[in-house]
Amino acid sequence: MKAIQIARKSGRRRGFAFAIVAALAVAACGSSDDASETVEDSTTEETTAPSEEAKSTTLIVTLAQEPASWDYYTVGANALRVPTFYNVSESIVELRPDGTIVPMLAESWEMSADGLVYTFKIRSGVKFHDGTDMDSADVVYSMKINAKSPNSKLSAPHAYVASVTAPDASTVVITLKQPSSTYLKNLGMSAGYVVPENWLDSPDLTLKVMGTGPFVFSDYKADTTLTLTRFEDYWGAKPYFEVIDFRFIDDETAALNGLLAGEYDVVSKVLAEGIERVESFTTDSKFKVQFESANENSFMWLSVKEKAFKDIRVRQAIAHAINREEALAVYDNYADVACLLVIPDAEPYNSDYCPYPYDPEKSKALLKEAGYENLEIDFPFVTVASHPFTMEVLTQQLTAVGIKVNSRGLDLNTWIAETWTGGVYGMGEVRDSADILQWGCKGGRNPLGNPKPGLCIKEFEDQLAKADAFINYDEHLKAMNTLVKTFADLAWVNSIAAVKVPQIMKANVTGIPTVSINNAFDLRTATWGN
Amino acid sequence: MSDTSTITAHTPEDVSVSRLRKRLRALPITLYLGGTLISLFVFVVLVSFIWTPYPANKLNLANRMAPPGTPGFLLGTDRAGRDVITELMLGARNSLYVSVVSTVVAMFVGTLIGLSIAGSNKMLQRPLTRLVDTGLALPGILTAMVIAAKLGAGNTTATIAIIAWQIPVAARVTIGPARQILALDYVEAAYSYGRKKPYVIRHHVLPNISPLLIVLGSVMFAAAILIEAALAFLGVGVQPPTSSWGRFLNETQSLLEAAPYLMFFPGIAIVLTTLGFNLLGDGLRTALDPQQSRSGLA
Amino acid sequence: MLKHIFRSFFTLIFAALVGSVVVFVLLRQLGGDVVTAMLGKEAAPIDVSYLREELGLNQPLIVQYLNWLGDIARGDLGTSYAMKLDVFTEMMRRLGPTAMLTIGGLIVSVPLSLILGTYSAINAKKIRSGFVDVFTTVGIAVPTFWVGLLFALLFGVRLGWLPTGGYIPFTEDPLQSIRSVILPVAALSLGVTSVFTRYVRTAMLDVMNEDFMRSAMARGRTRRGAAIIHGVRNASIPLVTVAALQFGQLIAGAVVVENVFVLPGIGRLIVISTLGREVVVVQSLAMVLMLIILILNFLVDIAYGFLDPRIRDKESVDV
Repeated sequence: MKAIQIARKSGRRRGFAFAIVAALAVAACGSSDDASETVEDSTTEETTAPSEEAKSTTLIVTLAQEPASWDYYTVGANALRVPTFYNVSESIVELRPDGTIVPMLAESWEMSADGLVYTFKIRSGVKFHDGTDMDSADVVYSMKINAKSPNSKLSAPHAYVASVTAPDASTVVITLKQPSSTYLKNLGMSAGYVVPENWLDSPDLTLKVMGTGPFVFSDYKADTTLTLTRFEDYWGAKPYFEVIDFRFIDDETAALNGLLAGEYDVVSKVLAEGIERVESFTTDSKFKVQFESANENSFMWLSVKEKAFKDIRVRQAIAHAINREEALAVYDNYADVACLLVIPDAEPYNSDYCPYPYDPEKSKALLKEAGYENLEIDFPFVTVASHPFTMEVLTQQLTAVGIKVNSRGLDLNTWIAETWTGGVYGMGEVRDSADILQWGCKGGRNPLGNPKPGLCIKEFEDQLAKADAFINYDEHLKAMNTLVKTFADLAWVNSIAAVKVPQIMKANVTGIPTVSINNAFDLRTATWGN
Repeated sequence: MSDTSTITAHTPEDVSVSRLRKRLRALPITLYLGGTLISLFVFVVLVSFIWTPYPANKLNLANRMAPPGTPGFLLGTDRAGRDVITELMLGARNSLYVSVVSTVVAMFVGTLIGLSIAGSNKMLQRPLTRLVDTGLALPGILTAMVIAAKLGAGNTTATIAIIAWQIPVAARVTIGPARQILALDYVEAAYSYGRKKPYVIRHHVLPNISPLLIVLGSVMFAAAILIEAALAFLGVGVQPPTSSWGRFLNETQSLLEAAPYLMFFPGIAIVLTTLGFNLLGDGLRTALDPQQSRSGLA
Repeated sequence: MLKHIFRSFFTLIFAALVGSVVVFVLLRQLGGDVVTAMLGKEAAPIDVSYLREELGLNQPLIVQYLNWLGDIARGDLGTSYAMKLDVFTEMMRRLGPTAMLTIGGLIVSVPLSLILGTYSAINAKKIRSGFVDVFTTVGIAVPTFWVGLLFALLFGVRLGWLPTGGYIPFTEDPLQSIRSVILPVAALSLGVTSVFTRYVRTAMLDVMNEDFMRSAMARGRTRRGAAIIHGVRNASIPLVTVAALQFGQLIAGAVVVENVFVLPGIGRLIVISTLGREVVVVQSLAMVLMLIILILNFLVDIAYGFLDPRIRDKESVDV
């Protein structure tokens, strides 16, 4: 009897326990709901005191990614260029968001009639952050080492360079083996990096970025902060902010919470799990959301080593199976359908051309015709950011036309080692900023380039060389237009979407451009609004 | 342990029906509650093999984050438009699979190692214990990341990672108390009756450390689900198309504004399962140790 | 005594060596290397093996292992491949947040769980122990990252009492430093306290049935008094082990908490370095962690002898 009594008692106790669990759950629910409401209250204080903030000459910006090192010569990650390009490093010329090329470290330049010789007049009075003056010798040194870099962003554009010379301290002459309409444009990006002579031998190479830009790379704590301070000897207009305090925060939930709490001023990019939270910021007057126009496309590509894919009908079938509209859900619709691999998508040679629109019936028919009704594809994907979701969408769409997809999740470097350089894959998916020219045999891009060209498609290579060789701008555009269309027709690489990257900031931050060149997070014109 | 009433309780008497009923009633209520909860989950898992509202991993991209009550989706849909009920059912399958397999294996192997070390030669004990410590010191997260990188993310990877993480824990928890019991007078006395070490360990050590092991088991079970969730959080966990509560829960952290209620579905499932196993563990402990059912009901 | 110390030291070294092999082999299972990580998708279609040569990645594994071990023996933890950061310096910098987290976690969770566990054991038959059970069950079942997230939203965003993330070194500003780790410690402690409370409760329930408790009560001690005076002391034997285990678990939990609260700690260093294929950093770090835990456990074993007279009397303390 005693036992039964105890049991009853304990039964009541447990009932009570459940009640508490329920109460906790309700309380937690309430608190998270309230949190999003009162967020506004707490930030109201922040923003209703602009006088104090307007005085602040420090801008706190979160960065989602951190490079392996600051060795600009080797490191390929966007993460290196995001905080430093334009802010710290500068290039010979500047590529403007509208595609025009304006002077930067070169005051002016001339191109010979045959398009082979470029003569640059180097700006005088430019100082590096180490206090030394920049002259033509530094530029020659920089161009020569860039051409040899293992980083294709730096070296690939220099492929046609015959010689780089400095007739005097303010003149640099670059001679090409064949005309290249994109060469100058590339000098406005990574290929045009200018560093002091012998910088590659400096022990600081991996620890900081050295340049001539408006901000000095002054302090870096791994996984914590990167501090830029205004360069008072800057040759151009000095920026408003004296200090840029970059915080490395790869957890977007944490970054957005910090922004809500007023601890940060700008969340530079929302690339991953934070995407669904963006909408709530767009409707909040305390914050401003800008969309960095696409210089990244999401695309999927097929391995040239797979026998099945050598049949163009199979590739076409796969291309027809992709429903791009539906795939935009991955980016919470902050993206545009893009059938062509044109980066940035504002390039004048872009068009709506879409050779293989979504058509599952046609896809099935093509597979049947090619005799690959039971096609199986190995699909390694990266287990972070938008990739798992994209993988799910693609898998569902391919499964719908009868293709069996074997997905396997890998961490980024295993993935790069296996697919990008190792070629162990059937298909891959990536978000990338590489323009079409990098897909040539020498451009470093799979499946047509790196590591040993598995396949150099003659048709594409010919057009590539031709498009680049036009010195006449209109002819170049026309050729590029044909080139990207041909590339899409080949269906080795199927572009899916041009991704818009949300930048979220306090409502009174202004002057941050929405077009990013060479992935730069350009803070030269950033300031407080009213 | 020498309480006479305990002995009477153990004495097998005539097992009449009424006595059996009385025995059953005497079983702790926690056992029933825990058993019911766990049976419920096992039932859900079994059903999921035959039927789920939607096929596994069916995305409805036009109907993302549909609120509960949406026609066709009783509990709504998640971030990718997957039916929440389907996700929970399949998640139950995978989460229970991962956690049960990893807990059972880790407990078995770990306890075996722990008991062997405790019962081993005094000269060997210290170095062996240190080896277990080394296993403990190896950050579990590191092992998990390497295994995930090597095998690719998935159920098997998660299970192996959790086992590797938990074996040293089980072993280390066992060693100390087992040695402590082996040093007791009456255990030493058992040797003098000619009992061999395995016998002593089975009949004296194991029963005495079983309360600890039961707690360990229930804690490790919950830990398995949580480690799985943490791996998902760090991007090395179970990947689609495998459904899991941990991954589901992880996905909801970015939906605080868009669909805050979603976190409660996997959250409650995890809490209830953990509760179920804890209650079951408590109940078992009480049932196995009648003395405690009187003095300190667990 | 000297012999005893020597033997302990020898065992430590032995275990550490085995550990070093395990870590070394484990890390060689990762796909790609630091050159892959540095070049990423931008690797030019040229031979980059000279980079591997420069970094010493082309050496036979056994040579790499012995070099690393030799460096460790000389007290040099090495430098990272890509950034060329000194591992020791980097580790010391990151020790701050992790130490504050884990020590803070122990300071909060050990006394709290002793109180809660004892309370629950003494009142095992009463409803009020149910509160503790509910707390521990929920605490065990709720993932740390969720707790952290809710804390950050509630106390950081909504109430604005504490920062949502970031770490201020103690030496820079002690007050702000403590403020910056309050939420992470709270988030970390919830799970640890819950787990530990369950162990305490079980241990206490066991101890309370022992004869010496009965005799203590017979001598006029109240149940609670007996439990607190004799119970805690005797229950502490298994608990010391568990507490040492919890320290290891704390470090694991710290990885997640460091992510949620943007703390540049040891946990993140492990994760980031593993992802970035900075194997020397991970190796050396794992080695240091191992040594710390090995030493802690060694001390725990000694503590056993002191806590349990039965062992002290029967065995030499040195195991």
